[in-house]
Amino acid sequence: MNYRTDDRGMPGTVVDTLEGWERMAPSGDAHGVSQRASGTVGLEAWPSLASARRRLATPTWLRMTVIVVATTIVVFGIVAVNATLRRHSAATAVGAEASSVLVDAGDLYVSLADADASASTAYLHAGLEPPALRRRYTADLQRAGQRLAALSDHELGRDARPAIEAIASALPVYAGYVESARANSRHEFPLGAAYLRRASDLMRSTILPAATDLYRQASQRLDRSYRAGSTPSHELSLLLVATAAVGALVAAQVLVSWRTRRSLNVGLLVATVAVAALGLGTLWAFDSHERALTRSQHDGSDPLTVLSTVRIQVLRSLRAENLDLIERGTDPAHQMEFNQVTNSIRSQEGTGLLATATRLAERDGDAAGIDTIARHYDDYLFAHDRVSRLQADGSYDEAVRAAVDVEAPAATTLDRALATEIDAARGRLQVYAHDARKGLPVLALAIVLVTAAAAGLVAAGLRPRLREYR
Amino acid sequence: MMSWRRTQGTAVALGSAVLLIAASACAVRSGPSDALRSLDELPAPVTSVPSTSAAAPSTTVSATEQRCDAEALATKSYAPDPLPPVGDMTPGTRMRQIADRGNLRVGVDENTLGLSSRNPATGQIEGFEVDLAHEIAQRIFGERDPARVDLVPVVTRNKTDIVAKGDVDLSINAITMTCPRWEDVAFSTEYYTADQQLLVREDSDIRAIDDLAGRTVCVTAGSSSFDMMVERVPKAVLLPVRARTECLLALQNGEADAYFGHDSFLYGMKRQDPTVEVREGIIPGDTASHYGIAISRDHPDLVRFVNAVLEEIRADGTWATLHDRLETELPGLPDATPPEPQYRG
Repeated sequence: MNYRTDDRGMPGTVVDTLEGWERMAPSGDAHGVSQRASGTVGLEAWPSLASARRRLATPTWLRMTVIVVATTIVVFGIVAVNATLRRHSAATAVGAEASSVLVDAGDLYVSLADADASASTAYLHAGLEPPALRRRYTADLQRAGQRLAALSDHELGRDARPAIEAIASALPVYAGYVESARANSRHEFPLGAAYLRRASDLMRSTILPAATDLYRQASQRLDRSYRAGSTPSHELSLLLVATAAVGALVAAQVLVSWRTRRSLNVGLLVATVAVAALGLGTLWAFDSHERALTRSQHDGSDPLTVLSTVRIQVLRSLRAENLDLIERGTDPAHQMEFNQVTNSIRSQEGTGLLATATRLAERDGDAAGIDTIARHYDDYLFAHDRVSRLQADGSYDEAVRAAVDVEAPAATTLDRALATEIDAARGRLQVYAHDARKGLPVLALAIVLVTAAAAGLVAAGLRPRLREYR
Repeated sequence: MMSWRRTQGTAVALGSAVLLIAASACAVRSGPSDALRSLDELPAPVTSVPSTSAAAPSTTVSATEQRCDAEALATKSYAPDPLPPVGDMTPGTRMRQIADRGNLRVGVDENTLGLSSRNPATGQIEGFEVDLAHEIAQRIFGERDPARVDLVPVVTRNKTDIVAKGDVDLSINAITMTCPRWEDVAFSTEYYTADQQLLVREDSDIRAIDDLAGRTVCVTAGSSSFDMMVERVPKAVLLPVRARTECLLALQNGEADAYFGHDSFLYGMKRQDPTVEVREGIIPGDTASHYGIAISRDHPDLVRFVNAVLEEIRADGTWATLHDRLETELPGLPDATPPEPQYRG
């Protein structure tokens, strides 16, 4: 058989092609052939569309099929790669960025509040300031400065700027007041107490609220990262385009085998299998990575957040206690704050932050660390009760001694236990967050390669059919 | 045809497999963290600046006050009863109740060097007014034991309230006896006379009352100095503070141009900061401040007892000794004799 071709070897005009097709048909009458050629039986009934029928001749629809199918495969590839990379960056955000921000923000508050507690404990102590307290205060301020710098480095967004600026500008003023207090107290002047009070007011009214704000924002940011890493829209869109691609492939397969009267087109078949496998594989990968991300949240960032909040609350209670002693119990607001804060940690009924932390720890079976914390918390409350009793009895000096020698160290021990547990939670968070992004870049590369190959296979598979029209 | 059915079957199989995987994927979701709820325990941002507002001076004068003013009753206390034996209070009296209780609760300041301040080296409150409290306690308990005196630090704003509420037995806190204050508490006879003056930086150009127009003058909230400034120097801008030393702090930081207060405070401040100085005579009129010990109106027997103790102290030279000690503490403080007591008819 020879086909009329033009110089380039491409099938000639539509009419020529039709003639060639008629010559090629192995069997059947001209009417049946022309029916198959047109592809739709009822087209003769529309004589005005006869020219359209000629336009929709075989190679064109074949070419269109290739284009449409390849396009859906490519779209699938783009969406899949996009979803994979998004997931990867979200998991990275959780593991590296957002969790560091949360820990830094918590540390910042703790450093600031501890500096203030050291300063007020030194005041209560009377006499020469113990060198250990002074060292602790200095170390606290340094750590606060470092955390603040780290936080401004991270991109917490514009919302964090006012808080960071507030702390950065108020902290040197605070430190200046504390030094003036020290200098005056060395001369045994009561002016020192006025400077200390001003420092403490600045801490309470400006610095600590800004630090609390940063901590809140960091928590919310971590939560947002988790949501971004597990949003169903990735999977849904992936499912959609995968189904579309596979559906297009299968439809093309059906169409081609029907029109060419061959059973299966190998290229299309392989491409279908490849795309389907890729779609299923990606969904499975997303699923397992999401499990890891959830684990990172359950075993990592949830306990981290709750325990950091407990840490902050313990410091608030200690500050209230110190202020109450400094003002010799004349302001009932301090004891009220102490009770309110400790109630939030563990209430009379046993609910509260510690209970939440225990529940979270038991979820993955290891509550030993929380038990230690609970024990230290009991010691702290016991010391507080003793201080309160002594104050109520009017034994002020003994109350101060009990606060400085017993209660403050108990709070320090509690803080250390909390810090240890927070570190452990952070470790778990990072391990699982790493699992949640492990291998995703490779997957993205695989998607690119496989979809390119599939598109190529579609073209390659249908090329012989196309060539038959020359 | 066979090929079509096979293709159809493959498509259906593939489709259902995909749907199954997707369905299982939807089952595992990391939803919003409930650890976030722990953040609710943290305090909300503080939006209000800590208030240092002073009580506004009352403008309505009651009939009692008018009578009090007319007859100069502010500085007149109840006549003293004869003192019971030291350490042996008469049953049924307030003093006996205090003796039985075991301690005398006294409201004092802890910021006023000389009169009453906390010594940072020892943590103890000491001063002229504390010594007076110990004198009174010694008569009640029969011994001079610091543990018997429970010193409760108060700030100017609540130095009479604390007596009226019953939190302390006495308040010895440079309280100027005024007619309005007699409405809330009773006073002993005068134990000290102070003069209200201005404290400025030594390079200040404030020398006359007109210089104060538009300048910032620091005063303690709820003090008679505050009322005096409002009345006599309305053109000055007032900066009320919670405790006296905060005015020295304001002067040091340039937040105020002057501090208007009792010279008993001002000389203490000059000792803590040699670069300030006391300027007398700038505010016109009577600037004398007559200090009385505030006692609950419900216990006139205690008032009479305290007056008797004060009589004794004046007579036996104790007051003079205590004042000498005060002059040593506060260089520049003028010498003085014990103020004469005045009694109501």
